Amino acid sequence: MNFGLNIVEYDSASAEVQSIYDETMRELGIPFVLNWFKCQGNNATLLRGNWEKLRSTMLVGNVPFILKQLIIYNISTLKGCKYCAHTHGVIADGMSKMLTGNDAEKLTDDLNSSYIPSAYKTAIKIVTNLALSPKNATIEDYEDLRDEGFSDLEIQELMALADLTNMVNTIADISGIQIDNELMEVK
Amino acid sequence: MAVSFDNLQNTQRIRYEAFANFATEINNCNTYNTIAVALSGQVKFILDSFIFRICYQFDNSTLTFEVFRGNCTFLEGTVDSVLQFEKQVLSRGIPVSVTRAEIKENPTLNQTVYHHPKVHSLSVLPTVNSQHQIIVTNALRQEDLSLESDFKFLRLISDLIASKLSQLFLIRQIEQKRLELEQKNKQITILNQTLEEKVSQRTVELQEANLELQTLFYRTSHDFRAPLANIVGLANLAEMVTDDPDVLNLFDKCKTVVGGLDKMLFKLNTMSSFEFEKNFEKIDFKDIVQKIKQKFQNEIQSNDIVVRFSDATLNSFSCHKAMLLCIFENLFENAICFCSAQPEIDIHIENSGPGLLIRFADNGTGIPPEIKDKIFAMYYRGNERSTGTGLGLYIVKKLVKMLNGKITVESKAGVFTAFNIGLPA
Repeated sequence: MNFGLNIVEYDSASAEVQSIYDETMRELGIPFVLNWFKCQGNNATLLRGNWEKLRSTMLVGNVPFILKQLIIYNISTLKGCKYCAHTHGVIADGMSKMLTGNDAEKLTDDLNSSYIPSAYKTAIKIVTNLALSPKNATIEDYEDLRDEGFSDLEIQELMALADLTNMVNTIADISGIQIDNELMEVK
Repeated sequence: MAVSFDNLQNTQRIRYEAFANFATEINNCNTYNTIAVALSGQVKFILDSFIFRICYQFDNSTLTFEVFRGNCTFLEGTVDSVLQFEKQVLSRGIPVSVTRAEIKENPTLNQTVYHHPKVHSLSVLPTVNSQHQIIVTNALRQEDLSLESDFKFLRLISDLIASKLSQLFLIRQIEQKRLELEQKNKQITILNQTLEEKVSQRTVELQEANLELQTLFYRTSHDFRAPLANIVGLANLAEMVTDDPDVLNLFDKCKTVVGGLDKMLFKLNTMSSFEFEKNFEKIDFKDIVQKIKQKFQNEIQSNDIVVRFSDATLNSFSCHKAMLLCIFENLFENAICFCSAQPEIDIHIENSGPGLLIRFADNGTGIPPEIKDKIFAMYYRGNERSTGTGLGLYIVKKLVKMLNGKITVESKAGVFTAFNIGLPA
């Protein structure tokens, strides 16, 4: 149920918004526009800004993409954002077969499993804690990440995920968007 | 959570994924710095690692990469850069696992970076082959090791890095050689330029000296002839004032000697005068042969020499007439000097491409093979009985050269001699 934010379908969108929709499909590698973008389709400026933030944090950088998805999934699950947990879980699990070699074993089922290298586990744990309780950030969080071998540049990318996930969760929750039909079949 | 065999198997896949990304990055590296970046970025996703160190030795050179807390440093050095502990493991060539307690007790370890309070164990893998040695050390923050999988990835990383570093070393050696070659080439170019300048300078000096010599030659031979003419004149006058046969004989001999000297000076004078004159005109060879026959009329008659001339040319030919006349005169004189009984002289001219071929042959005494290479030398006489100046063939060759031609000789002792002169258009 949407709380006053209309979903703007592709065909109904302005040329500028359509152009942004095209970018999201192209860069995310999916053949449809996520509801998360469509619920912002009435305001091209906000849509552009939020897309650029998501793109710069999630799609670009040195931290592996799968790790970023696991972090976003974990935070979203703990915060109870069904839309984001589902979406990012699908993406993370979509890579599972390649990574775990077993369809039945999905990465998101057990983020503490031996599937996941120590560096991954530490990053997921710390960034999740900071996303949920930013005021609890300590020097030890940074030191633990450095001990795992993350550089300052990578740590900054990881911390940006805490901020990004809060943003995507907030927009998803306050707009009341439903999980995309295309993703429902996958999960 | 206890580590099961299934989990170990599956763990490797996620790590292989990370190793594949690492291999791609390493393949694209062309400097030690980019290798360091790849190591610091990717090793943590392949292995659980707190300190990761690779020490690579090639010849007497050592490269060490050390990944620690998000940074990778590299150091180029000699074999002295290798840690004592690493040397020991390399010498044995066997992989080693070391616990925290063993690190504390080992004097070759407890003064190194591995004595960090967070380090609980080490996995060490040495690789030695004929070309290089490489040792990989992974320091962990836990004691619980999955030995097999960790060593497998250590081996993969070790082989990949060794391959890349060997390649970079080779490229560096090639580049060094290329620079050395470039330097040598520059030096050679400079030397060549210096040499060319020197040669040019020397050529100018030689040309100036040659011109001076020619001038001296010309003036000297020209100026000596006047006094010689005076001596002949005085000898003639003296013959008029005495009847004494002994005195007359002496004056006669004097005139013969002076005549010979004058003849030599005349030849030298003629040759050097050509240096200053370059006049080309259309040549009538029949006319030239006629002039020669007129000049040597007495000798032709007294020796019964048969002279034959044939002109097979189809095109006219321009040349320096006086030089050609001089060439023919000297060849004719030479043929007369070495004629036999029933002497014959054949002169044949024909076109040779755009140029000309002159064949001057006689049936005289011929040239013995042992002196054939010397006949064109200055003042060389064929035999002791020859009354010539020894300059005739020298002048012929010099004049042919001045006309940019070539002269060769065929001969058979006692049968014939033929001079073949090729002249360009």
